[in-house]
Amino acid sequence: MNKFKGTLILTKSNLKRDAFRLSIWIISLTLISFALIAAYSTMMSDDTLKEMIIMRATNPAIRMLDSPSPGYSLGGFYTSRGSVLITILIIAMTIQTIIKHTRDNEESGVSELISSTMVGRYAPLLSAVIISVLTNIFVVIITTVALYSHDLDLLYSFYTGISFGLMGLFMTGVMAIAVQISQTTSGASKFGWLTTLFFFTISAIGNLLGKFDPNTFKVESHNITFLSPFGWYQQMYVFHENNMYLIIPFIISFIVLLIIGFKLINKRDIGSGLIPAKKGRKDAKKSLLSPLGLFRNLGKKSYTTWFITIVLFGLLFGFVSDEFEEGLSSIEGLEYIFGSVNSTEYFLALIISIVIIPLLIFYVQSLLRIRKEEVDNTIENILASGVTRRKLLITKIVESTLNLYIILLFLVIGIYVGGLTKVDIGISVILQSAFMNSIPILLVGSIVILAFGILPKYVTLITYGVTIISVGLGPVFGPMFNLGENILKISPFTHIPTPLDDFNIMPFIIMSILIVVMTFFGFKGFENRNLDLN
Amino acid sequence: MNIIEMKNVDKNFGEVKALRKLNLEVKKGEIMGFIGPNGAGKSTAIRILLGLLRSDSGSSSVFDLEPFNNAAEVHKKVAYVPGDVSLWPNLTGGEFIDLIGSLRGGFNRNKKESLIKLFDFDPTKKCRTYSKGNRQKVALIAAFASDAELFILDEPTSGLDPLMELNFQKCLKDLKKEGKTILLSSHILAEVEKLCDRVSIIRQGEIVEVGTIDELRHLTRLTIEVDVEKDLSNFSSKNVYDLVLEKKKAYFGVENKNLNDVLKELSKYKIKSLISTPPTLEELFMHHYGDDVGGNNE
Ligand SMILES: Nc1ncnc2c1ncn2[C@@H]1O[C@H](COP(=O)(O)OP(=O)(O)O)[C@@H](O)[C@H]1O
Ligand SMILES: [Mg+2]
Repeated sequence: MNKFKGTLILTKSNLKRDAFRLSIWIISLTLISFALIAAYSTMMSDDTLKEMIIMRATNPAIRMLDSPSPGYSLGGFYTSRGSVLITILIIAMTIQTIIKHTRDNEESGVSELISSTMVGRYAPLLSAVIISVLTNIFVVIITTVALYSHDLDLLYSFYTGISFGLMGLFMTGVMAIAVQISQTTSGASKFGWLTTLFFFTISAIGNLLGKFDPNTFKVESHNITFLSPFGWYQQMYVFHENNMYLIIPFIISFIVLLIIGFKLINKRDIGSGLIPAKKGRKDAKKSLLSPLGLFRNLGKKSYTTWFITIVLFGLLFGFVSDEFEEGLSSIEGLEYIFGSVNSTEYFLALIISIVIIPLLIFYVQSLLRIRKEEVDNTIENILASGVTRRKLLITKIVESTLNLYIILLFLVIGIYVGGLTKVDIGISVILQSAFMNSIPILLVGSIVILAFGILPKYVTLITYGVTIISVGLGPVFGPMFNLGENILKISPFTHIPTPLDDFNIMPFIIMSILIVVMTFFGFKGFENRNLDLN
Repeated sequence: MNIIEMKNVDKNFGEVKALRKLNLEVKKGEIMGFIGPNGAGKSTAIRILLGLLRSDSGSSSVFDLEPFNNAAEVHKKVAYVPGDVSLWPNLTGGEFIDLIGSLRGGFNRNKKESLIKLFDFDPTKKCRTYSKGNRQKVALIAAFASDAELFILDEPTSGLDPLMELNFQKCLKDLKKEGKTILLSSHILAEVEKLCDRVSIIRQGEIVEVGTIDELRHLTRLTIEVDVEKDLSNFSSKNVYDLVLEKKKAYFGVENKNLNDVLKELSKYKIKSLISTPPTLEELFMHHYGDDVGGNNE
């Protein structure tokens, strides 16, 4: 039987069923595109635009989040300022679309029906891909029209649309694989977002390490940005250089990803991801048979993912470090953030405070796992089998903290090895800096423990609130908001000395006391409260 | 000697009064049925006994220990099967059983193997793939393979098919022979009648009846549907309730103790077929306490 049989019929019926959701996306994207270009074009009249470009290109945090400025022009500013928001929305739309027409269908059993009757095995995925490509063609049209309607060059407006649509194309390919690998909707979506985060960070680093030329208003990115599809579209520098040859890597990677995605279909049954196909163990390994073993097992996947991601970033930072001094000289805001010393110190402070962010997220997520056990009722199994609440919580904290420091250690080694011959920093200095930054992580962790003990219903909310605040007001993003030093001091990360010579023991003493006290009351709370079972 | 004792235990969840002055006693070596419709408070009472929840007032003890503050110690001697078994999706059934067994201690590997055979269970699958019945099997095997003294089973058979239920009953009988104590909750009286030495009936958070099955016979009314050969339009009897007559068919309720008399009266009409169904608890409660069918989820 033809494996693609029925694709057309399926696509038509999927489009009909999904028309509402898709039109919401298209309408929203249209509104946003028009609103952005309208807002920017009012700045064109005076020198506001010039000032904006300079401000955004010289602030390191903003430069990481923006697409690099291609030069002085309204279209250029639109791509630089607006494209990240729009591409993220496109990615969200693409992730949703592919999942909706593959995994969701499988989970509700629809595609079992489909594939048992008149539709080929490849048809559901192909139909999802077609729908996704169609919506991204819409994106191209919307963007072109929005820009053209503000008197921008038609061809360049079209190029801009193409550059956005290509990001959707790339994600379509990624998701074609994600939905095969992952067991669940949420797993597939996580895979999509992690991939996005990974590639975005690479291009963000590339942009950060680039050079800003105040004469041409162009940010020249570091070459590592070419490792990321974000880099590909950004480096097109539409309206100025128009490097449209960068379409090629998009097309190639789309085809490759798609081929892998379709190949994977053959390797699995409808309705199940790739992973559970093999038979499991009949008996448990010895290493599983304790609360620690259980937590290690439950956190294995997330730990491995974070470990690899974070250590890779360490290596990457080390690797690009030789061009760092050069790159740093064009980032004027750095001094304001990190005080004024030599640039190796900047370098260290900056990379540590960047990579500490994923470490923080890893740590609080790992701690929150115990709350998930409670909400899922699985905690009942442990707490009704002779394990005390105290032992359970201690185990969780020990496991998370151990993993935190293992990743930290390898991160330090990664930075050191990556930049071995280039930068004149000893490993012990990197280690010290990383260790100091770990104390605020523990502090945020103790807030999680406290909330878990006394406000279990709100612990997730509190955790993410505190995480966002301490990252947002920390040294990487804090200065972006012009809030004044005192407000930034709310973030524990602000209190880490840079350079190390400014070391002052007081903040660490205070943080340590807070950690102990909050952890203590967290335990008290958990040991004396009702479990929040369903 | 009482293994379990609850005296005047209250438990509220906000506005919901889950338990009101609940009293429960389970003696060493007996199988106590803990019966009540959905929402009556069975799981809540059990979770208090396991120290997972704190009671608002009243006293509880398990092996003479207050369960909340001595939870871990109590659990060394208790095996528990939750009402809604939640497993870790990425562990296999076999791994789960081993894990729970070794956390509690006193886990018998050979027993595990024979129970796996008895329940016709595949321990190599990931827990996420198990149906409700299979999840219950996991928890039951983990419990029965232990050397616990007390077994607390919260509606353990609600997902099992009839054959497996027979196997379950066999396991309980074996445990009783070994002198173990069992608290068995259910919302179906007939299901536990055969097994239990005594039964406590809970309704809206209160115990309304305690006794041996014989003492509670007045509760075990059967519903009968009978087909006969002769016209029975004129049939009447002081032993039946809710009688509905058709030409050659009758529906009615009868207490167990009067069943024989009624059948004698009916045999005059030549019985062709007879279906008897045990009452649901809701029906019983409707009769005894005037409850609405469907329980008391207030
Ligand atoms: N965590 C909880 N929060 C709020 N209400 C609860 C909670 N657990 C149980 N209840 C309520 O308490 C009552 C008793 O529930 P439960 O003990 O589960 O009954 P049973 O096990 O007999 O079906 C029900 O009305 C239920 O809705
Ligand atoms: Mg229950």
